Amino acid sequence: MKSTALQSGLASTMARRAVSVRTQVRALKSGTARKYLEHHALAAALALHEEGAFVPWVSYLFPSELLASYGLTPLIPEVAATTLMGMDFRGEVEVAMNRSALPRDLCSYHRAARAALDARLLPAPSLCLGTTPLCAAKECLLDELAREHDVPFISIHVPLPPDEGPAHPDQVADVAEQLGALHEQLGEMTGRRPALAEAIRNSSRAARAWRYIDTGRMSGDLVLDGRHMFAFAFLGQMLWGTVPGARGFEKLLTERGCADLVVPTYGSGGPAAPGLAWSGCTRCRTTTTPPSTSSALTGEPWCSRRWGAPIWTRSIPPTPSPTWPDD
Amino acid sequence: MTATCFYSCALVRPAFLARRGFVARPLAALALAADGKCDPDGFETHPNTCPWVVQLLAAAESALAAPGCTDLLVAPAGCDAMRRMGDMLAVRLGDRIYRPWVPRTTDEAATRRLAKELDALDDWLGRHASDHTDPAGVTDLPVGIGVGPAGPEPTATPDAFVAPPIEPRPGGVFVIAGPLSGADLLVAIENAGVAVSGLDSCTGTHRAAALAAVDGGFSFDAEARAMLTAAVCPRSTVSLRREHLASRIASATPSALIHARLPFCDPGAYDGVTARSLANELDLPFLDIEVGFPSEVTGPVRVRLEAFLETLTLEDELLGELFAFDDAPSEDPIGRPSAPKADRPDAVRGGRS
Repeated sequence: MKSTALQSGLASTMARRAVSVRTQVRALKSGTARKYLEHHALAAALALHEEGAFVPWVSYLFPSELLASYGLTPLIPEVAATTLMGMDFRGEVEVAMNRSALPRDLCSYHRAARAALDARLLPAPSLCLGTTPLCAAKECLLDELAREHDVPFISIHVPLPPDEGPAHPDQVADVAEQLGALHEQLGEMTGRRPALAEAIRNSSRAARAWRYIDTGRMSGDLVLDGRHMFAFAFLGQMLWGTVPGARGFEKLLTERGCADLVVPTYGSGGPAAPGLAWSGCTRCRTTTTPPSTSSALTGEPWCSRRWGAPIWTRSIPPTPSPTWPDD
Repeated sequence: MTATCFYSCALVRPAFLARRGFVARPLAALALAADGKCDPDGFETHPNTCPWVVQLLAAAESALAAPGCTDLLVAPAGCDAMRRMGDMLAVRLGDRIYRPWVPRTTDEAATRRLAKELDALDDWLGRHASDHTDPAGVTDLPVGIGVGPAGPEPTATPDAFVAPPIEPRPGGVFVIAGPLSGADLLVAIENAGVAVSGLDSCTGTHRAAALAAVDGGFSFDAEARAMLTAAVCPRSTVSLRREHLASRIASATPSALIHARLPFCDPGAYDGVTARSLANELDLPFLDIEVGFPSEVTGPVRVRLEAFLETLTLEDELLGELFAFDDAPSEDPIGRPSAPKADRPDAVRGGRS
């Protein structure tokens, strides 16, 4: 489908359905967790374009379960920017980015998300939710968007984590209190009834599956394509606390479910990649987020030829342990 | 002779550090005094790092991490770059660095949390104050840094650049900037024939005066409230920052707005958005420029600055005469109502940048 058709049609129900059906067919054909999660994340994101939809723009560190409790889908600017740049919309987003008043040395995720909103490729916020202390830029972005669209901006204050050991119980209690107050506030704003216990159950199902997979990855028993795994975990944030989110992560536990993520062999040799000091490594691994628009490093084919697959590690794994077991 | 406690940004009140017996000095003083002798490239910073933070980090590594130095550093985590700088220095300085968190808001909850943070900072200062009975550490800075021994009495002695007081001058340019290393930018504007009618910068007199002026009995709550009220900077929430800038601009009654941003500064980038929208609302010509640290107004920055400032004066000098040849329109060609020239002695409306 051409981007112009998609752009003009994202506001139309038929076009959104067409995109959704396309990904659904892929998911059914492959039967893999990745395609399943992609389909449901995209379908949920497209639903945010519907008239009257409640669109919470949130920090990528925000606990999505609070929103899932009310059946809300978070619009995470970083995820939205990456997804759009990886689709037919890239050209439109780049044109809008070039028109933007934001400086070019600002985070490309945020510039892209902001530009996509200006180009009407993303729906306007109904509410902006942030978290401290990491990434002041996303707080600034959400705050500014809230002002422009005259919607509330609420930020959860999370203290700087200690260098070692767990956070002080008082600090944990403070954050919990803020989350509780916000959860109630969300109910008042949306007029919906909460289903927090169910959202937490779903989230914990996903977390258990992810922990199992992560243990295998860290021990070296399970070698997954890091580029796809990164995208999987990134998109997964949108669905934490939902049934599709839980199922998507649990599908990873089956052979068919992770068939398109497993890397059978790697390190097959070949010429060293230009400009990379670790060309002798058998795995390409980093602890940070790869650039959202760069295909030079993550793209096919040379990277995969050299190492089989890049093995990315997210700096912040999604819910490393089951969330909120009792409270 | 007393020990020195450096602070990395103007979110900290020097007087707060001085009350525990330390000489409070801005870390920028070390960076500026080093005068290029600390090679920022020699340290492990990403090239896309705010030059202000790079300079501070280099100065702190050279001086404070030197063997024998016992000086302290308070590095508030006002932005990501400062937070990371604090993290990096903590590896070298251990317990000689304290990294307080500073909120973006001024509400009661934020004030309470900051008060607790200041209480903990005060404890830390108290612990170290008792360790500093031997003053030798204060002068143990490496040769070449150029920082002399501290004064004989505990005091707050800011010795980095602080912009001179600026009297509100209607018709001039209001400058919004991050930390400035000198008066280059302000001088360049004045040299172009346009007055500077106001400055909002963390190295401006306004900030220093606001931070110094805390009267009454001491309490951590009062201290926190004073800090948050005085230090409304780009890290603050959009609404607070807009309100603060709008009030300062209104008191200066300028004819144009210049926003000078440090490269790779995220809060500064969004501050530019705020400044631009205020300029639009107030119908003021606006220029967004990028200045480094140390700031040097040369090359492309000077060209942009001068071109912008010329547009403020050209309309009166040239365009006015051009229009006088024809059937003189009562309003300008794009429909803006003409304003009495007396209201704008130094500059008049020009093109937007």
